[in-house]
Amino acid sequence: MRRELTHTILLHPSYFGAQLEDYLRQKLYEDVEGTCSGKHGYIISVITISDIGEGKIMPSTGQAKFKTTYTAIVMKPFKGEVVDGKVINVNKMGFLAMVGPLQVFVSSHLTHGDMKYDPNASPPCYRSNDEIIQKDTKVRMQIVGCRVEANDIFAIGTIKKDFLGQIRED
Amino acid sequence: MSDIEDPSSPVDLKSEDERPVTKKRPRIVDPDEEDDVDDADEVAKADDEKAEEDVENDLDEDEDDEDDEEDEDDDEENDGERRRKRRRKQKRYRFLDVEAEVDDEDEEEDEDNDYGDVAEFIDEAPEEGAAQSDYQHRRLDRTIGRNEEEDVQDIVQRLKERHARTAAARYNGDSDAVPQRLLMPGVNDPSLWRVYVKTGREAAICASIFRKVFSQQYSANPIEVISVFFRDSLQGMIFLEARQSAAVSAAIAGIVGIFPSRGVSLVPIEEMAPLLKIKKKDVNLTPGMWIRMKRGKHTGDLAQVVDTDQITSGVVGIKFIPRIDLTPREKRKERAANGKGFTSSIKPPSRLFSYDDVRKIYGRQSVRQGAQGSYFFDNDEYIDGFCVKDVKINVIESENVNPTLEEISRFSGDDQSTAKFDLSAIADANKNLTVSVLLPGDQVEVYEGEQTGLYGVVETVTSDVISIKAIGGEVHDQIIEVPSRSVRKRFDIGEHVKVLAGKNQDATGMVVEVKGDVVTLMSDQGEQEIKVFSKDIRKAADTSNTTKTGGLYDLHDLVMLDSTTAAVVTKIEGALLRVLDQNGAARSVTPDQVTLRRDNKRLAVATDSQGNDMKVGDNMKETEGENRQGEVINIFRSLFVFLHNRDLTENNGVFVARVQSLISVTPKSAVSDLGKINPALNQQLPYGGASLMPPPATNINRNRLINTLVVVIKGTSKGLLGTIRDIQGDNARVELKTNNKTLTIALTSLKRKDQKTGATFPLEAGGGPGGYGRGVGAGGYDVNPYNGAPMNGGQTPGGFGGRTPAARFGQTPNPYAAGGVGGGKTPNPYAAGAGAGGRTPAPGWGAGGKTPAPGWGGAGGKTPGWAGSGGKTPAPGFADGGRTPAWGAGAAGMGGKTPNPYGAGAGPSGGRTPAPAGSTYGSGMDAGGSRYNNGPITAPTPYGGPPTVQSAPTPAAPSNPYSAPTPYGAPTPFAGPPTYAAPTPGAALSAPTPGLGGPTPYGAPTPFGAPTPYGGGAGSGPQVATGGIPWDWALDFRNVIVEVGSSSKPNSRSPLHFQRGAHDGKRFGYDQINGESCHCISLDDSSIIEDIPAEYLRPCKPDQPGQVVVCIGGGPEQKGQQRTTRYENDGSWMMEMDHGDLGALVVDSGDLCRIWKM
Repeated sequence: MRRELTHTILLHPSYFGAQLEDYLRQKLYEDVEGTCSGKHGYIISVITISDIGEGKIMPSTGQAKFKTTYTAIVMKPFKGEVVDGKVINVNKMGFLAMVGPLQVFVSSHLTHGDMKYDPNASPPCYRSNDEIIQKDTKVRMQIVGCRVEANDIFAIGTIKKDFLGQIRED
Repeated sequence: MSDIEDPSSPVDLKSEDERPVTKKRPRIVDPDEEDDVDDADEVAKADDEKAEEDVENDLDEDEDDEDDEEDEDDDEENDGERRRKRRRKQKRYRFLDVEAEVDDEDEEEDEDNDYGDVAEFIDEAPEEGAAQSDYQHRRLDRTIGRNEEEDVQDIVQRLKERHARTAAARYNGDSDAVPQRLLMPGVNDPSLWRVYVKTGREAAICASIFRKVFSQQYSANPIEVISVFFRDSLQGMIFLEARQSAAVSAAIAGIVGIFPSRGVSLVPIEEMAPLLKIKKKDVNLTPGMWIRMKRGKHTGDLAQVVDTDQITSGVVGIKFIPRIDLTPREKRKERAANGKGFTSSIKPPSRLFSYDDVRKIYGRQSVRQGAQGSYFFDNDEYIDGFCVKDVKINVIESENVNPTLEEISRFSGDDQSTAKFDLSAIADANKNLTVSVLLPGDQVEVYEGEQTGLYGVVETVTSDVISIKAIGGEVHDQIIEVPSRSVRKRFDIGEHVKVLAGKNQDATGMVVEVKGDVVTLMSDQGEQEIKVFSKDIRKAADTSNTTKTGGLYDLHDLVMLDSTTAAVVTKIEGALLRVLDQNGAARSVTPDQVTLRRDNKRLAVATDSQGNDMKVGDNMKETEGENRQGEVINIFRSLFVFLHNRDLTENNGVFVARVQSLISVTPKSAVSDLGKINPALNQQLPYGGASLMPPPATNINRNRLINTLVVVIKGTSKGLLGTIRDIQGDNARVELKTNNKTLTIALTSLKRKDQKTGATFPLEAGGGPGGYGRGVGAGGYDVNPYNGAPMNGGQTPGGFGGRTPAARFGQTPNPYAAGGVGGGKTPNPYAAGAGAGGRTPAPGWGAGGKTPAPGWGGAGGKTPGWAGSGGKTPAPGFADGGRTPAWGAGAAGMGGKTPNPYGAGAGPSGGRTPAPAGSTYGSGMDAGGSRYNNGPITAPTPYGGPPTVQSAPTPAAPSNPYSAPTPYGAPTPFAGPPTYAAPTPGAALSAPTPGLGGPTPYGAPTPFGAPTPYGGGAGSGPQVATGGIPWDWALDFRNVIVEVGSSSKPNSRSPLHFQRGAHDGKRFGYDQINGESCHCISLDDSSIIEDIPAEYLRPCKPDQPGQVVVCIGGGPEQKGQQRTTRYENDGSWMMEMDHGDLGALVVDSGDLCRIWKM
């Protein structure tokens, strides 16, 4: 999803000069890419910078403030969204999968009834008759809830529905 | 009278005997009531029974009528002793008499009579069963006989009186319709009087009064007390019903245990009914219900009703977790011996009965095995570990049981198996609490009653009824009122909720499962599941500051346990903080035991095991031990690093490590952080050593300031005098003279005050920063190998050369010096640049740096100083020199005017160096027919020498006939050398210019040695960009065609592409150089003129035969040569023969650049 966003950059005076714009650009990338805000979700990548803004020198620090407008690809999970992810951790309470930068936890309550935790397997896994979910398994989940924190999003998912669960690569 | 009465008494008794037949049934129906309600409450029971009779009334209305008639008859027949008779009459057919039968005490009978009296006022007489008929006949006979004796007038009179009084209360006899309010006492009824008596003797006193009243009732002045009773719930008082207080006084007079002194008070009419009202206890025990024990060692323990079969006899079977004292016998004896005794107040812990354990302690005989795996021990039966016991109802508490999930889960034996929970029982047990936790806006679900299954949002809440706005269904959006006890909160999976009560209070989490009343959460804090009742949770905002509960401390805050021990909050447990201290010890502390450390998260840095710095938020890994990995959450004193990793369970994922044992998970990128003060400081210094020098301590000897008299010159305390008591970093603890307070004030806000003169001076001569600067200068000397340079230099034949370094380092007010040596300390970019001089094509010096003495010494023989110093020095001087070529070229071009800030800033020697060099060379070039020959031959600077070596290079080379023959140049192995090789001719030229340079002895030797260094230079410096051509090759040439491309300068701070690649791939020609940029004119469009930094410029390779090119690479003998291409073969060009050529010249195309303007 593309979003028009703004970001305020403070630039140290030692960067003022011919390459100022490039520094700003660089700093913008550094500042926002890979971050997460509750409002927009994860900012995956800056696509274009529409306006770099006018610099304003801050009194007392000498730093220049630029209000930059840019377009970025963002990822914000929604309740009900079906996502694909990769399992990174399996424990008795459920398993944790990463969907890009987003962590989705699937509780064992939200797996199919016949899916059982097998702590003795190596690595530990959830096993049912036709599925096995362990670390690095690709799974399809539906997000049932999100917790959005200041700089992180955490989601709870379910695979207790049709067509969810392990994704087989055939 | 008495003769009549006498036989009547047996009749009464007899009638009572009969009655049980009809009255037994209700007693059976409601036995517990009787149990709990003591005799005083029987009045109410009377109500119950009356109601029953009412039913009977309905059924047998005829009978009823008959009764009524009889009643009337009775009335008519009443003789003068109306009261007595009425009592009797009541006794006969008022159901209340029933009570009297049960209790065979005579006073009880009296009481009953009284009650009957009361009832008579207010109600019609109920009929009696058929069994009574003969009794009635007898009574009829009797009353007829009595009536005959009575005065008819009297009877009429009384009858009227009586009817007048009771008319209001009388109804048409249809008791069903008689509302309760008509039974309420009014002003016409006798009053109730309260009398205080000795607590505990109420019953006895009542009995005494009965006897007294009875004994006097036929006397001349009977005591006109209608009834006497007491209530269990109102200890220490009895109540008498009478019309006048005089009667009460008479009744209580002379009876022991009554306190007439405390007064006889009238019970207000409106309180009379409540006084007699029974709060009906809803003791409705059902199997599976949760109760609590009221007595014994199990007081407060949760128990479950298992058996209600014997409930009629007041006994209920319950099951609970026993508390068996499993202390070994010896120990118990010991304890007993210690005087604590067996029956010590220590409650044995409750645990499931275990046959083996008990047998071990109490012996085999004490435990008997019963059927189906049950055990008998100490007269109790144990099944499945639980004690199953029949107890009296009054030792259990069935209200406000409020079992917790933990207790219940213990009952189910296993924490995990919620499935076994009797959820309905839990719900029942907690039902009463529902109202208090419901708030408008809560989502609820109706789970019982006719609206079962309805969802809604609470609109309003009253004590028992809530109105909800329904969601879905036919009643969508309607507001519906439902009993609050039949709703429960509803949560959806995935909702973010907060726990309001219980063990997990204040925890937040996301709902993963909802099963009836039990909600399972995935906690936000730790990776754990929490099971709670839905009543105990509330929906929380999705965006939560999970632990920001208003407390002073947050999760992962750095707190101080004492002045030297830091800890990080790993968990907030209600009012307790769980912390992990810097030594790795976890403990629980109360908030007042710790102090919050100033938030330094953004500033704190530490150096990891590899010398890279780390900040809060970095991912680090341990290099030893468990190799744990985590994100830095706090750094304490740049020594202890607190990290967090969700995957770790210990301490909620927080662990502590020392900086020395950490390493960054991701390799540090070379990209400098733009947030830093000055990026240049972070760039690695070329020769390694100095860059890692730890910063000199900033508070050297500051302690000497202690006890100095100072005056505050800034801030709120400005103008106040004080004495420095302590120095903490940049702050001083100043004890003020005025109020004896000690404040922490920045040193910069303080000035020294002379006690005698009152004059103020700066605290430190140079001020904080100044002092620091000097410190660095000094430090610089220490680490600076150049230190020795002056000496060595002194021996340099050049003399000037010798002085040069001396001048530079000796005099150092020069920022360069400090910067170079001090590493990242000086905020002077030049210095850093100098430090990073390796990047600049400082072939000469770089070479010098690596060069063993032979380089110089070979020629000069006497200048080991240079070599030596160069070798050790990443010094600014050299770095400067490194840049020099650029200057040199520029200077040469510009006539040695050195408009260049570097020169000026570089200090006495450095500054001047380039210019003279250029000029010297200028002349040299002039002589050599160089294109740059416009360089004025003005500066006869003798000591231009050393720098010259580097700077002069190129230009001279091309056409300098001397260069080729130079034997020394030839061996130079590498691309860079061209620059270097140049010096040779330069030297050659300069040598003959003693006139200019004075007796520069150095000129000659220098260049010859030079070539060698190149090998080193190449290895050390990344200056060679593509194809072995230095990035700034363009600065060495002019009038060539270039292509714009990405920056070839290693570690460049400039963007990768010039103007975002606007000109990438375009061809330009240039003929002027501005600093490090070339004044380029586009070949395609001459209106495009750009100053492009040299690092973006690539040589434009020849693509056809016959093009005029210049060699920009290759050996010194080749570089700078201008040729014409002849033909190409496999990336190399053969050149047209030039005069003087011995053979065909073949040059790699990468080393060629086309000439722009012919």
